[in-house]
Amino acid sequence: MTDFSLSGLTHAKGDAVRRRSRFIAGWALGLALPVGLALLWEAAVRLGLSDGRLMAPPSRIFATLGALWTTGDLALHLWATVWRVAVGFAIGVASGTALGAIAGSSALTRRVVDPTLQGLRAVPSIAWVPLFILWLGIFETSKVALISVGVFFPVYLGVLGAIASVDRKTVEVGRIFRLGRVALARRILLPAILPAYVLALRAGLGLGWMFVVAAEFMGASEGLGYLLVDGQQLGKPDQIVATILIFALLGKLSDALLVAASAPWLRWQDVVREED
Amino acid sequence: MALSVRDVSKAFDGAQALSHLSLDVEPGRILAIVGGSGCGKSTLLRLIAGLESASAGAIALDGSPVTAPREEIGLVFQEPRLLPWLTVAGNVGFGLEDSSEAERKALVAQALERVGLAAKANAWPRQLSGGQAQRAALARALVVRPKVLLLDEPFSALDAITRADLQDHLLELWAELRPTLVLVTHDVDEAVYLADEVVVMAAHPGRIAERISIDVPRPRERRSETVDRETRRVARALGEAIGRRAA
Repeated sequence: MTDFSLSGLTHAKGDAVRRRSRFIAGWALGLALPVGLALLWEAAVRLGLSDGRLMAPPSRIFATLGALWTTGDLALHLWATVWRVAVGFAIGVASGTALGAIAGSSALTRRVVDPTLQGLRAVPSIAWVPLFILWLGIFETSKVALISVGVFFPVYLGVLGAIASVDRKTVEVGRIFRLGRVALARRILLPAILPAYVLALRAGLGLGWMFVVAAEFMGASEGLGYLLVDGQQLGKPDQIVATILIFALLGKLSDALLVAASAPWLRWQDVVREED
Repeated sequence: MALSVRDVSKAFDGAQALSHLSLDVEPGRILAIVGGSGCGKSTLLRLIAGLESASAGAIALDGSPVTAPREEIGLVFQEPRLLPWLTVAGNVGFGLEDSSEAERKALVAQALERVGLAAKANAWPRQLSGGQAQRAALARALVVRPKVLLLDEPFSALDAITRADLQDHLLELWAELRPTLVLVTHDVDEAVYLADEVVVMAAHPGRIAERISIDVPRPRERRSETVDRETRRVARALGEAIGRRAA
């Protein structure tokens, strides 16, 4: 008895260790390329193979970041951008989810609304910029609106598509157990569309980060997009590369947060299918 | 509960799937429905389940008409149709939402024990084999104690050994709980092995061609002179029913 449970325990422990080392190996492999390239570039500049004027070596980029941080500029710009993305994302997700759900569950609404939305989706997003500025002014509102538009479409499409592809056979299980409309939505439809919904949110978030730059290019006095424009106009390539680096980190971080937050509900997707 | 199908017709987009079909099943009996493809046997089952409504005629359970899915009627589909986001226990307890947590747990544990899946309670459906998944589906249908259990070719996707195993299992569950069973199958051996009566259906339009009582006491042999004789009778009737359509 004791032996059995002990061996079971060591087995579980071995599993955990293996999982952990695989996790670390995954990180190491993923980091090898960017870190390697950075080190090579650093060495090239130090050895005088390049002056690193247009493409600063990592040490100078970190120095730039450090300087921006100590003056408090970085926190200011970072916060401005994160705030815009957060608000725009929230509005885009709310409206995209609502319209997608309505269009997905009512054929009539879909026929009325969907063609128009598909048409609007075909408009290059930057084309909205002048209009939004005229309508909403040059300040926050127009920027948040642009980001919302960017987030809206992938979320709308994702929800619509997910509802359309819910298996009729699964819905029948709900009918056999006499679920009403609300119970059917809660116990069958919601869990069924959740994986596709999370993918749509991730796509929407990615577009949110893309659109915030477009929004901040159109005359902002703060935000990471402003840092980019400022870096270009004043000839500070270090600042541009540093900002790009921050965007990469923010994008990856926010996506990872989204994935982690949804993981408890999608655990069933990760299990390996066993053979008969 | 006694199930009655009275003069039922069903048309899909003008095509007559079932025409003036009548059928009675006494409580606690096992009825098998066999027929060629397109004879409307699955449609008949879906009508009894309340998933479709008849174009004409009526279906009744102890005299009260069936127009929508009913608590007393369970259905096992051809595929397990387990919900992938619920554990096996969650799936089996799906129809027990109104019960208290403790009661649900007890009933689910009992049902899983009955179908031999107690060890898989916390597994995800994707981790089950085809036979295990269909067992779980059977447990999900039975845990709410239906008076009538409908089965739509429930074992057709399984290999021969698993199928025979689940047929015996179904008989054990039936002996224990005594629901009225209506089983649609295309497997004549299965029909004769399980049923008290076999209904042979013909197509275009879907109708009953012949009703054959299987008067073989249980437990039955899978192969014996009497069973073979009944099997031949059903096979002949099925051949005629399919042939008639071709003529």
